[in-house]
Amino acid sequence: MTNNRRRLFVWPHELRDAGILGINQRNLAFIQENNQRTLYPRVDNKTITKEICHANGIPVPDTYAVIRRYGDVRRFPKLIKDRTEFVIKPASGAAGRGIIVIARKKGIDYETPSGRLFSEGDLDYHLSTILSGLYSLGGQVDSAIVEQRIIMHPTMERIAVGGTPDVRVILFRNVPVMAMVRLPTIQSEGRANLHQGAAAAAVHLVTGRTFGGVCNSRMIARHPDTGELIGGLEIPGWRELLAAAMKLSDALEMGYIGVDFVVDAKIGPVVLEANARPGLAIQVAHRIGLLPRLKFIESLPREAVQGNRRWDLLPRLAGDDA
Amino acid sequence: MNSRSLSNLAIVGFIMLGAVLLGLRYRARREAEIARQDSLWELTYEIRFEATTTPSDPTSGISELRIATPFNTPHVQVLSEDWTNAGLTIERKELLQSGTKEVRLSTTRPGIYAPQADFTLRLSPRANARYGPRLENLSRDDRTFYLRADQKRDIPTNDDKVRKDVQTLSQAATTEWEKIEAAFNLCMEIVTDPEAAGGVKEALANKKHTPAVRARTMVTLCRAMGIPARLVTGFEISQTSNAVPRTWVEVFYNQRWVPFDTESGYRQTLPNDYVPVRRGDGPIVIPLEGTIAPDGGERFSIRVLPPNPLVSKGEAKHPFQIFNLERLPVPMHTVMSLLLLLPFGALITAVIRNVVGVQTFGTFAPALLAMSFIYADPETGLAIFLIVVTVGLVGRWWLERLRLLMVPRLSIILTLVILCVVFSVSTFDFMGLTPSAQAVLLPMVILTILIERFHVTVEEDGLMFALKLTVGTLVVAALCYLVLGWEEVGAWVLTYPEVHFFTIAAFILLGRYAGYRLTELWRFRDLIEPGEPVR
Repeated sequence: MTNNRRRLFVWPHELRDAGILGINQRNLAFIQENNQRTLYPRVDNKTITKEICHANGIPVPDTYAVIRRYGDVRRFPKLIKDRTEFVIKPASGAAGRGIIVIARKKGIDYETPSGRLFSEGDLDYHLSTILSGLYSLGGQVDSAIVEQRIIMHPTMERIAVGGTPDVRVILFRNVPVMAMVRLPTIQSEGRANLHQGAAAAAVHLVTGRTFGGVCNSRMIARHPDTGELIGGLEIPGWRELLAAAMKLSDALEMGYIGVDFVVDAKIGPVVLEANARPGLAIQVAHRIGLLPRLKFIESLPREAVQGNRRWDLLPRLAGDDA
Repeated sequence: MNSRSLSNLAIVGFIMLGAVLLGLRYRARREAEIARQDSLWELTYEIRFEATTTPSDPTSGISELRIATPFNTPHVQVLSEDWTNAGLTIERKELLQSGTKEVRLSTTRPGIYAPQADFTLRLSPRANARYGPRLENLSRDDRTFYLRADQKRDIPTNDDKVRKDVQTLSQAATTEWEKIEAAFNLCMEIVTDPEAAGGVKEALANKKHTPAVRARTMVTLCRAMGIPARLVTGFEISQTSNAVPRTWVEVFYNQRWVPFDTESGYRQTLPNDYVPVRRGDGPIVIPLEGTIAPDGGERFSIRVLPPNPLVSKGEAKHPFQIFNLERLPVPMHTVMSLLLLLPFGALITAVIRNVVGVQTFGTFAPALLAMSFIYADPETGLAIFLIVVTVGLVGRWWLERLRLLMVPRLSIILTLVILCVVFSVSTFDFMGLTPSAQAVLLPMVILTILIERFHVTVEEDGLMFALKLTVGTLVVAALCYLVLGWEEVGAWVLTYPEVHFFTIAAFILLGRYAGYRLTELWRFRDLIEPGEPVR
């Protein structure tokens, strides 16, 4: 079916009838209503998120070092114990900003997977800028996390361009309502954030199989750079991933969150971070609105959204998903 | 109470508070304004007359004086009336046909009396509809009364000359109104001659006479044509120790008494300061039999009174003046109104961000930028802004290589920005372009942070995204510039700062807006008409 006369915009009532969740409604009716302001540091600061994961037995990348003072920056090589493969990220960073992935050492320089070279001075500078708060929300003084580099699961390789795809699960009242796998593109420069131009494929809640797709708010079926079909891919360790997402959501005590995973070749899904303001493009990837699912969860009694009974809801939630 | 009903309550509360305060201020200002416009006058009648005994009954004769008092008109109101009349009996009577209010002073004892009356009048430029011309129905008797010939008062409607003139007038005019106009025009052709003798007949024959006779001529002509007409005697308000009553004409047309001033030429509408005293064909003071008003026995004077105390009250020191911002020295007005306009800038920002869905660099940066452009003159402001941004961005790009910590790096950009502004002003001055020194007040800290944010956004999210934010920022700034630069709005908000209660209500309303943003109508369009994926 080809439709050459695509409309440039649609009417609000059409979106309403389709159950599309808009930003204003997300902020007012879901984030503000379900996420307590005092709990935000649990997701905004990745060191706290990681501590919570540790305490609840949720797999996360190993932390090599947390650099909190400028004095620690010089001792950086000692702190990482001469590791040559690691990731530096700001503890309070957003949208993948300020993350450097080092894959190996080349001479005295460090090299990213894409071959970009960083001298020790470059890394010192980067660590300092992280500490000064350049990447943190609101520009506050931050700390830098140096952690284990995740080795991409081979299943993902086919659709990964210049970066690691991650899996986002959106949970409402601790129940997964939608999931997608976010795919870096050339436009997003290896980062998996949709507003930076990354693509995404929807993930079926029950089967863990990809379908649909979105890039730059448009529906896609193939990877924008490689042309590979992005549907039909099975996320490895899907049940463990969902179980970890629910466990983390329980521990965070926040009602509306997105949890981001990467799937490691050896250890399986590990939590990268949680997000209190997950984006809405996931709806385009699914070709369906979030509202009916959220309303359904809201209509359920408290007991139905606790513990293992949540698994029974997933087929109902996934509904007609391909 | 949940947040939604609390918000709704707050919206209603703020709107009501704003409306009440706005109403109070509007009323107070209006009262002061009215008090300033109105003027108070005192009209004084000083009358000397001699009461004599009538020849027929020397012992019990009554001497009486009938004195007409001023009417209320839409513009002149009689506030008070005060009679000094030692030894005289006072009686008030409103004449049935004309509505003239008469005061009748009478005595049975012969002698010389000097009664006095003081009227306080308020003259106002606003019309009070209560005293406006009313639709009337003339009874058959009234009609006959206002059509009658009156030899005593020199209204000779039956005179041959008058009849002839009326015939000529009636032939030329078809409608009643044309007849009235023709009569008026004919009277206005009569040249003023204070020495002219005789009456209406002579005036028509010689085409010159006194203004009083001119008015009588008009009444005579109208009555002869079968149109009810009457003389009105009254005053024109102005400071004088010897006010001469003037006489004009009222013609009954279309169920209304329509005034014509044959002395000055006004027709249909008289100046605001005309106050009628006696309607009907007579002077203001009519002595009855047995009463002799000696020559110059009546003297009218009008003087202006000090203004209403309300006007001067506004000048007194009172804590409530804190809420009157117009009281501030004029040089402060620009800054104050600009400050008061800033919430409107924030309102625009909120609408653009939450309802339209356009993103900008910083939340209030565009509004503040717009504000500084208004305060400086726009040309200098824009030129310096462009120089600062160019130099700042180049400097920031170069600074990246030095790898400095954030605060020192920002400080360098700030220094650069300041140097740019200062030397741009100096350069403009050197070139004789006389820049406004206010351009120096560009929000330099905001510019510094904008430069840093732009640079970081280009690095992190790509040039396209940074340009998108730039366009959004410029759009909001331009809108803010248009609204904040509106001088009438600025002056208005300085007068009525209470309007910001409405602004707060609008903010609450916007803050509870859960509908789609305009950009989402585009963003989610694929979900409504799925069709094939783009690739």
